[in-house]
Amino acid sequence: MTALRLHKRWFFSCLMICALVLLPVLSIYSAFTQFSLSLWQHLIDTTLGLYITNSLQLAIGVAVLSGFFGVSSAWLVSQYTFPGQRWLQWALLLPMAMPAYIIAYTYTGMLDPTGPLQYWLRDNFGGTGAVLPEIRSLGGAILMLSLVLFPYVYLLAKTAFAEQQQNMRDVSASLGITGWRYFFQVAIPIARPAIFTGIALAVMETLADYGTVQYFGVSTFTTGIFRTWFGMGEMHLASQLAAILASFVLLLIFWERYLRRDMAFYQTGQTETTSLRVPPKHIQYVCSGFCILLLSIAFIIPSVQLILWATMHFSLAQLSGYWALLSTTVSLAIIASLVTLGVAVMLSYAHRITQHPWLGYINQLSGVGYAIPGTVIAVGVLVPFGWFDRQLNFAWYAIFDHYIGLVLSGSMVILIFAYVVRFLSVALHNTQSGLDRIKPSMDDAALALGHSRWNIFKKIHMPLLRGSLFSALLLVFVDVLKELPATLILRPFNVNTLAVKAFEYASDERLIDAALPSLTIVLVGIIPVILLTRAMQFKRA
Amino acid sequence: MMKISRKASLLGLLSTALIASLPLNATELNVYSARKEALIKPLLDRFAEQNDVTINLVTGKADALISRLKNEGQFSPADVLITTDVGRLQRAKDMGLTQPITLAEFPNSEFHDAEQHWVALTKRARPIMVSVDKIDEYKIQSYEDLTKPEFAGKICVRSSANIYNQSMVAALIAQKGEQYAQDWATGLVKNFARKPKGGDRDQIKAIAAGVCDIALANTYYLAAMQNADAAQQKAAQAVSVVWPNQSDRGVHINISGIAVTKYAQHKTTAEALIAFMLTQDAQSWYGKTNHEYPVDSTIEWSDTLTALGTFNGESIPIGKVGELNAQAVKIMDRAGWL
Amino acid sequence: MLLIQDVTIKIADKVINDTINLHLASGDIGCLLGPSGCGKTTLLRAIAGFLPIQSGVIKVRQQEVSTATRHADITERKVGVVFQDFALFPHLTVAQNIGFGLHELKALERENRVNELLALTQLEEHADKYPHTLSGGQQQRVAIARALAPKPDLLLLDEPFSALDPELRETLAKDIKWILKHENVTALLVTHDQTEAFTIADKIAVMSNGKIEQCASAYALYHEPETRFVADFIGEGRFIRATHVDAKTLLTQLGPFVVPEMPENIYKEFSLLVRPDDILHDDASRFSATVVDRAFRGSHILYTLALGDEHKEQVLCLTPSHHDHQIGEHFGICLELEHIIYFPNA
Repeated sequence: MTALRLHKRWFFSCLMICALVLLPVLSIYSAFTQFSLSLWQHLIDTTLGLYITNSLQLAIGVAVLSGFFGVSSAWLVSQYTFPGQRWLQWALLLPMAMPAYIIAYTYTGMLDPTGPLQYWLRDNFGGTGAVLPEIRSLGGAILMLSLVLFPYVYLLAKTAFAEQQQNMRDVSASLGITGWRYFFQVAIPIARPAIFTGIALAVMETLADYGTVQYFGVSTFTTGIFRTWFGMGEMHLASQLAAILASFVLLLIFWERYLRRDMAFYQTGQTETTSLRVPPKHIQYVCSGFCILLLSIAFIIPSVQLILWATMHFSLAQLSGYWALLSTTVSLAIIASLVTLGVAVMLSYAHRITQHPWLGYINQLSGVGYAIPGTVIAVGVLVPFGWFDRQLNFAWYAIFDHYIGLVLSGSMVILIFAYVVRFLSVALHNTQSGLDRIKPSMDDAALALGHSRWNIFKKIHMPLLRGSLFSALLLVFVDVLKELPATLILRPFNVNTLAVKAFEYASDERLIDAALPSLTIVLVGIIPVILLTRAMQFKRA
Repeated sequence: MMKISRKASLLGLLSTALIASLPLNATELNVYSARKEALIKPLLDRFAEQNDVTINLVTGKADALISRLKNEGQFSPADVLITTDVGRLQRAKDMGLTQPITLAEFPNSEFHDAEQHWVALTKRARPIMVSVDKIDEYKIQSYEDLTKPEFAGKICVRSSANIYNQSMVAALIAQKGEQYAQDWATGLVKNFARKPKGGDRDQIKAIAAGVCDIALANTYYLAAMQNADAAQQKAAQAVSVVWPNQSDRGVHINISGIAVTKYAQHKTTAEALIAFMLTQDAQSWYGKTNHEYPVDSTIEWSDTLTALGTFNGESIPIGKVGELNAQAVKIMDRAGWL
Repeated sequence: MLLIQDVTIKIADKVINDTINLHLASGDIGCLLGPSGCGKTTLLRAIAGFLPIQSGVIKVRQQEVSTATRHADITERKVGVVFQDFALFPHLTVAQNIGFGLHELKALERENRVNELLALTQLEEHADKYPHTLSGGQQQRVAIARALAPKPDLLLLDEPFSALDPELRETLAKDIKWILKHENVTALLVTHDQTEAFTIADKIAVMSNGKIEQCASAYALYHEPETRFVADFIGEGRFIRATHVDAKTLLTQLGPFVVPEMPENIYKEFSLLVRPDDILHDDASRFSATVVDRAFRGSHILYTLALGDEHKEQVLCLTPSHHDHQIGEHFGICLELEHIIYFPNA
């Protein structure tokens, strides 16, 4: 086969996959065909401004705060030795296993005016009503989301910092640039693509969040989408809002790409990387203190609260059917993450082989599902698949004289497909950056030695990519584990997941009953996080 | 060899997923429920056992389930749709997703659709709850009293994204007209102690914590708190229920209900389930488990419900509330009640 | 400008540099030359201030910067550094890279200085480009311009040519020398390549095993090596065996040579250094040698010749290329030594 035909084949299979993945997104955009001026007028007159300002504040707040948490902790553990530095390296990833809505529940339980802390404060120090700043507020939502989303920034920034060469630091020092100056003028800008990617993931997840903002009474674009859909029954308007949200995110991503269009950030990786520095004792304690405090607030305290709640009314009866629940959740997450990974590898590989600039953009585009609320994705999935099932049935009837019923709708397939659409971005980031690090000359060398493309993939790329593939797999796994809204809508009969269970209790305002499934999500989520860190250490060794 | 077995197991998983979605046989009943699993499955299980039926259940948000139903069209496996408010039943009916139900005996006319497309299963009341310390001082008689300037900064209500508030305003529109409802909503928002947040229990807890003095909440939340852990019991004791508008239109009432889907393949079984849900046994199970009022007035209330007192409820064609839901949301948008 | 006295450097208790002494006058270009692992980069890093020293003293512009007890931070040293891989900032343009160390200047002064250096390094047209778009030589000039910008007292260059195309190294080295001389900066570079060292440096310190073997000009190192290591390392050449005939005469396979009188006659055997240019093609000579290898170098041919019947000793011979002999042929040679360099055999 000629190279050109090979390229064409890759190009078109990539286009096909992207089209499929973008189908739900397109079906959301298609809502614009039914445009109602009066409804828009109502929105503009009343709540739209609030949705926009709240969403913007939330997104900016989370970008700044998760950026701060992630970058600062990544900097400390990648540059300095201090007590706990070794275990904090992986422990700081743990908050990733904590769904945002669950940390929101736990902190509300603790810090709300109706919670134990404020009662205690009022009983001992007087005062009435709320004696602490309201946790269920815009600021609280920013804090909650940042606490569980900062590990994305941390993970990427840590790698970027660790790969920065000692020479950069030395040369800067010789030019009189040290300390904070070095951090802001050299370390951060060089790590910028990684940091931005991390923050982008956090912001996308924030914009798609419904559980936390809804619970905290913060009216954002997402709550607006649900309000117009559920409250007013205006599905089309809701889809239009979702489409606008998605467009905004895409604009943001392409804008950043445009900004760094001329810069290349190759890691040569041939010279020595930064060695850990040993600061004075008191500085070491400050480092430890900061990281441990962050970990406590983001993970340990809410986990302890969950454990307390879960054990408060624990009975063995609660465990009946629990094993089935757990195995469904885990196998669903495993299958979905494998499929997502496969698609991500296909897409980034097609881009590598063809080097077609379009594919770069199309790949980027197909990751947009990450910024769209799960419920909206789910509906976007329902529509085309429902259509397909109907057509299939009509065709079947014409040939066999009976209906076969729904084939895809209401099946696991559609649910897993929705997960792929929703979380492809996470996997793509990893596979793409992994492939980027393998120099094209390596492919050429292997081709020249008479290896087939498949062989190159198996013998060269796979071993080199193992780390990236593994982290992609685990990140998607954790995300699927936590996923709620799409699961809720698309799941087949009698299929329950931990997240659904936790949600049902929590939305019935039974936080204490929700603790056990929540805690299980966190515990199951910890396993891949630990695996991930072990894999990273292995990679370095 | 390893590779082949791995591939085979993946294929196996996928094919089980496919098979699971194939048409289900006759002794089954497929339920789409907006009621949470914990509050519906025990009853379904009991019915399944008595009638030797396999019940398949999927729960979710009402509108999402309606969307799913609509997209599946005539091939939908669902036989019945259960929701926790009348608005959604009405919406499903309006979208042509339901069909008339045949029952030997329907409850009172206000508890079923005029064309028998849906039937109420339980009744819920949304009275005013006032801090025990302030109840004598405030002398609240009606929902309208809540808009009085003297209660500025004293009222806690959950978000209007919640269906209970939407239905409440919709019912007000149905009875008093749009402008009246708008004025009431605007007046209420002026008296908010804080931005709406949390659920109904949170409003009751907020009274107990002294954040506000007055709240709107469904009775079954208060009842549940009275039967929960010590902290919640303590909070529940801090409020007492005011049955508003007892001399005129009555306290706001909503229902949970059930409909048979248009393309139900197991219609008789579905109707048998509905009849079962209306039996005294099932009705009092709801009273005991979730402290909801039975739709049949002859059925006795649980002790907790009796203790909360008797009341006159709204008497409007309850289906109308569903039709006015969108209008209610717009009114609350304009009032700044988000 | 740079004074190094009795400096010893240890890393993890292992002695890397042992009692090093070195002096560079203002404007000198010095060079640390040696095979890899000889400790030259460690010494450079110690001068830069990246490493502490265990004894001795390093002075820059008469100021102590490193002693066993005091270690001035690199930022206090006014030392510029150019790394092997240049360590250019990928997120900054050429002009921004060059101006990076000028943060204390006012905007206008900074701009002037950057322009001055852009002109000096002939990078004006690349001022707004990002480093990755430049050639290796251009990147090197950016790195040097960046290091020179704050007018350091001392410029340190670590293997500055190793990342570049070998064919370009010599030309580039001349360019760099011109730039350094133009800026009148005192510089010290580290290299393992003597051509580079010869091209650029005024003063070369040959290092081996953590010690400076000899510090001198290129000419002196080549013609007057003080140690056997230097003689071997610098230039091409072979040693032949020599024995003492009397106090003033050494006898070799290629004849006797007169040497300065030795005070004590304690050694019996010596090695005599023979450079390729010391061997002359001489058909009339009574000494003949066998060609065992030849390397054609255009105008010249470098022969490897085996001496005597036993072929035990070899010398190199550089002859004009019209003297064309094949491997295995014999021709007559004579040895003409301008400097007689010999070392006793232990």
